[in-house]
Amino acid sequence: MKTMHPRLRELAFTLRRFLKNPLSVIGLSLVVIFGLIALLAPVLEPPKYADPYKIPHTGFHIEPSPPSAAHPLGTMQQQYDMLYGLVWGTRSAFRIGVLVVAANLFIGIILGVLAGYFGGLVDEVIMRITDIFFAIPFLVMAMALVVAIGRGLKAVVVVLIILGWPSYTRVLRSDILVTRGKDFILAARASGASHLRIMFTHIVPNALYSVLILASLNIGTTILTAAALSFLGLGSETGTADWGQIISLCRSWIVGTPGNRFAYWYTVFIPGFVISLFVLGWNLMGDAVRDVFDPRMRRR
Amino acid sequence: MSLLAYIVRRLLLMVLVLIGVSLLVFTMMMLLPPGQRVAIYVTNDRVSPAMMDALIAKYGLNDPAPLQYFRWLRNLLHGEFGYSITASSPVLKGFARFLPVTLELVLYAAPLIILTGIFLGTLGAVRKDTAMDHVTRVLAIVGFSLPTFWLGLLLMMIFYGFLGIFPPGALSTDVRNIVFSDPTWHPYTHLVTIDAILNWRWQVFWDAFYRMILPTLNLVVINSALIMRLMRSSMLEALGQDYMMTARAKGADRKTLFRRHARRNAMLPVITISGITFAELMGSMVITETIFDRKGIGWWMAQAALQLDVAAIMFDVLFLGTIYVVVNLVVDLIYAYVDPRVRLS
Amino acid sequence: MKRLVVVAFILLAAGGIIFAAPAIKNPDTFIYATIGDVVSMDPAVAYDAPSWSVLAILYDRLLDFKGADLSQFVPKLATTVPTVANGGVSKDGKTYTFTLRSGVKFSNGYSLTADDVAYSFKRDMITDPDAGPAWVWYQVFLGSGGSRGDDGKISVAFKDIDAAIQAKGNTVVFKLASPYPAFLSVLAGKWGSIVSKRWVTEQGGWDGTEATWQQFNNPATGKETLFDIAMGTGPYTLVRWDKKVELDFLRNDTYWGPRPAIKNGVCKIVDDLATRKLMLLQGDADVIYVPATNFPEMANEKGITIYKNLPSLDTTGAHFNLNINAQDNPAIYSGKLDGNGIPPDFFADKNVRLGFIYAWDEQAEIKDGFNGNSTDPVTFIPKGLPFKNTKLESKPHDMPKAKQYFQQAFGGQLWDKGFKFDLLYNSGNLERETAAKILAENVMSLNPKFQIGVRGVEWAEFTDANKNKRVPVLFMGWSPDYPDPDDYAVPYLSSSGYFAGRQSYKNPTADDLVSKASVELDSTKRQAMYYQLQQIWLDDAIAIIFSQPLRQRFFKDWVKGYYYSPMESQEFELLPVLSKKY
Repeated sequence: MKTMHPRLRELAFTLRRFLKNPLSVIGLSLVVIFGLIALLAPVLEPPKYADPYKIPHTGFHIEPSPPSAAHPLGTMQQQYDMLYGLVWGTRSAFRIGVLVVAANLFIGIILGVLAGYFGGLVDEVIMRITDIFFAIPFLVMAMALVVAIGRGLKAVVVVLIILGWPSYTRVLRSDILVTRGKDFILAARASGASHLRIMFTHIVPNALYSVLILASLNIGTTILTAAALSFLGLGSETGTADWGQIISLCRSWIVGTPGNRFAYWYTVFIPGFVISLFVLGWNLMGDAVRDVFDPRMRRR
Repeated sequence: MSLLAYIVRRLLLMVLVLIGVSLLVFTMMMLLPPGQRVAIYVTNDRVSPAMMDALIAKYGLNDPAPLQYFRWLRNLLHGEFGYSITASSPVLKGFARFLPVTLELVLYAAPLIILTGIFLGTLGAVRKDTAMDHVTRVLAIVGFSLPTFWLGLLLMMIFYGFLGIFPPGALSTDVRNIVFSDPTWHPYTHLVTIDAILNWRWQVFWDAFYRMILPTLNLVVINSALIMRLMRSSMLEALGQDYMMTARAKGADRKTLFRRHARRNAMLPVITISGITFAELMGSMVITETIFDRKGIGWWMAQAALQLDVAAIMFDVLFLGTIYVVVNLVVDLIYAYVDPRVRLS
Repeated sequence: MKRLVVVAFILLAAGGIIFAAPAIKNPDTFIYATIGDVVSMDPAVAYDAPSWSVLAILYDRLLDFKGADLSQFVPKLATTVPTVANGGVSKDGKTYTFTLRSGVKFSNGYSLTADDVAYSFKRDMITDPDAGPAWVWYQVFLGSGGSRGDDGKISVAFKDIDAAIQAKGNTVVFKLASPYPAFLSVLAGKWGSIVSKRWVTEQGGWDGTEATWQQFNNPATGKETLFDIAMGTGPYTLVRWDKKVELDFLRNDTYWGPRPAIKNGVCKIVDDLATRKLMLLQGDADVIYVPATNFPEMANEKGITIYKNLPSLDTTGAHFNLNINAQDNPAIYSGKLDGNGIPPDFFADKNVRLGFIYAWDEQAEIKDGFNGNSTDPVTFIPKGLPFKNTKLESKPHDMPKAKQYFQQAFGGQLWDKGFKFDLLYNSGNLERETAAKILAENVMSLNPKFQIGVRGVEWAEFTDANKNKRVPVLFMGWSPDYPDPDDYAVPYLSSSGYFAGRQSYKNPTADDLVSKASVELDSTKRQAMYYQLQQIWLDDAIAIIFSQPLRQRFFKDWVKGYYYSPMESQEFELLPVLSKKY
């Protein structure tokens, strides 16, 4: 190995730092495990219907059944198999999280770049719009919009995309403002490079780090918000492999039977625990990524 | 820019943002067909299509959207916010009834959240890379990762379901009778715990306080995490500053160092986030109040959003929007006051 | 008028074991925890269960049902129940005269007069809010539909209202548009609550004159005079309506009738079942509302009294829409018979309807949807009402037969091409959700080309789709306004009725029979008509009426004196006869 490209060297350094921190390793492993579950879902829990996100059930009896050989994690209300729901729900979670955050990033970056690079009136208009979005109470607006669009997972995703982009725009814009004034940009401009070229070869890559960190932190939050909407009764149809929907079914079962007040613990505890682990994984990772990339914390 | 000019500019901007908020929310509501917006007025199953058309006409839901918006705006300027079905009363009356319930919880939870966050965050930074640091960091991230409603349900399941303590609801019936019907009770502030002290009725105080413990706990666990993380990182940054090195080189003892210099500087971002916490707490009430059966603004908002109670949604969103922008303004002013380096711009 | 033969088959089964009796919590106060708040306390506007159960204890009617027996009446504010024999009802069945009980006072001390009674009914009629209850009085007294035409303009003359209800001395005389055998049942409804003319006028309400009535017509929601205030002759008075939180009532110590045992009544609005259940178990509530799906989890709880197998008069069904509105209708996808949607007239083919009906598994729904707490009403008239033909039987669950009908549908095309549409239900309603899923899964199992989505939609969307006839199969229930087959025949079979209208179902014979049966005084003839209607309903196969629920009531074991009546709006209205003791 001769001399590495400086960017590669930086990356290797970053990775080493990242892997030295036990918390980030735990986070990474959690995310990887969930990723594997999502990937291997068809092997782990072969689907019974044409639509794999439909959870199999035996009858529709309302009372959840406890863990057994047939249902290792028990069933939810209406006899939907918990394990199946959680496994395929992992796929849904990745789909929701990644889709929403990617779309948010896309919108956020475009508007942030426009605002940060052009400044002036463009900046003013875009930033006032983000101000408006910031001033809207998120959950309330999300609920009303989901009701308006028609409840279901699709609506939840659309709404989270509509409401989620402003924070990226804000962060990216302020980073661009910092980068824009730097010498190398001024030099590039003096040498006659076009706006677009400058923007995408110099400014955006340098300002992108903080937005990406924000994105990694936001995947967990997105899942939590989607679950909260489901809990309030606005998620997908019962019997769909979606964590938020699964956990929303536990609400009536927090009181057990006379002999055993925790008789339905599995239906309350398991789905919430799985969501928490998933979100925890992303948050640990995001946290570590932030520490690692943050230039102020970097070489210390 | 002088302080006054700055404030005036910010206030004007604030009005602009709020008009934008109302326009945006209204537009979103107008995307719904009148048949859906009228559903809130349909209180029984047996309404015929003709009756629904009559209702639509009665409330002007078929008029062009701009006309409806200006009608709403005009009524707003006359202090008429419309009638909220989910509150069973005019919007302002409902608001006056629900606000104290929420405000009281915020008054207890917000300081606890901020203090817990600052304390644990400082602890982590000062003892960086010790066991204490790791524990607090993990706690923060775990708290941050729990679904609010799930934690709430677990708390209910354990404390009220299993142990039979900490009942849900804001007040017991007996105490409610005192608070709402006893002629000797003076509702000075409408915040029950504070009124109870002013009226010197400890039974009332304990009842209200007792029922606030679980929701407060729920809010603290989830919301202090963010402040804690922020406090830790900004404290670490402050500790690394040049003047700290200088002070340390000059032989200042650790305790003074942390208290005098680092903490003060690290507080700045925390002031911001505390302000936002206050504003966002109002939002996170949606879930907490729903679970612990406290009929406050959060519960009301959830109901209004679910049932498309447009009058209530518009009002609540504007109210929370106003709180948000005002809190931001106040935070910026405090910021400028605490740190003269920050210029008003 | 002929006596209604009503069978009230009530099986009170007390469950729960009384444990070593602990001290009674709040001995003077009765607490009911439920889900729905009162919509309006104005008798002219209220038209939902919570509001009616509150009116029940705040006001009195001229007469009441005799306990649980819906064929008998007891006089309340009247001295006797009018009959042809005692001269209270004219021979032609069109004039009813009530003599008022003397010495009755409203809770504020005002004396009850015949003028108050006449005023109360007239006030109901002139108020007539959109989607309100006044239609019943217009139907009975004027033979019309309401105070306003389709254009929303006033279409009724005040003198007609005035002439129909007259106070004479201490009597009130009602003149009906045509004989109406169900009139006394109608009067026993909560909408017949009597208010004080003087007091209402003092509150800024209608003064009883022709000059002012139109300004009180069709008030906006919440603007009706008695929206959140109440003052009646009833056994309780309103202390406070803390909206969406609780309602408080105090015993009326000047009540003319038997004095209630419990001093304070409280209705708490608690949305969450788990919370309500905990309140009951901890003694913080004396009775709670439990949806049918959750009956089993209550069965073994200690310290509570469970009343089981209480027959209701509610019916729930799946109603086929014979002419689905295809405009902006995602529920029918392509809108064509191409295997990727359904045409608007999908259910107009009787083979399709029969296919669905034979695929329906009633037992599965009773077992899983209702935990056994439901019966099959077979026809649109629920068990327990007169003129029910109990000899009829539902079409059985028969998959080969269902297959056969689907193969015949659309000349065999349907079987080859398949179809795709959505079943909608209002989300949160577990019984309807389960029913929709059972129906969908059974039909889909016949042919892989049959695709049925089951989709829960919010009430707003559901109402809108329902109004515009976009719902392919309407899952909806009916509960009685008054216990008479007429209240069911109209919605289910009259082409302008609630269900039939939305289904675009029109059968001239049925239309004719429905209107004739409603005014027929001879009960033998009336029975024949309703038997014929039930046969028509079964033959035309326009709906699956799958449930007449058996209710359960969950009281703390220290609550005594409860009895069930199918016409009770909520348990709370029994408050005047309840007591708390061991």
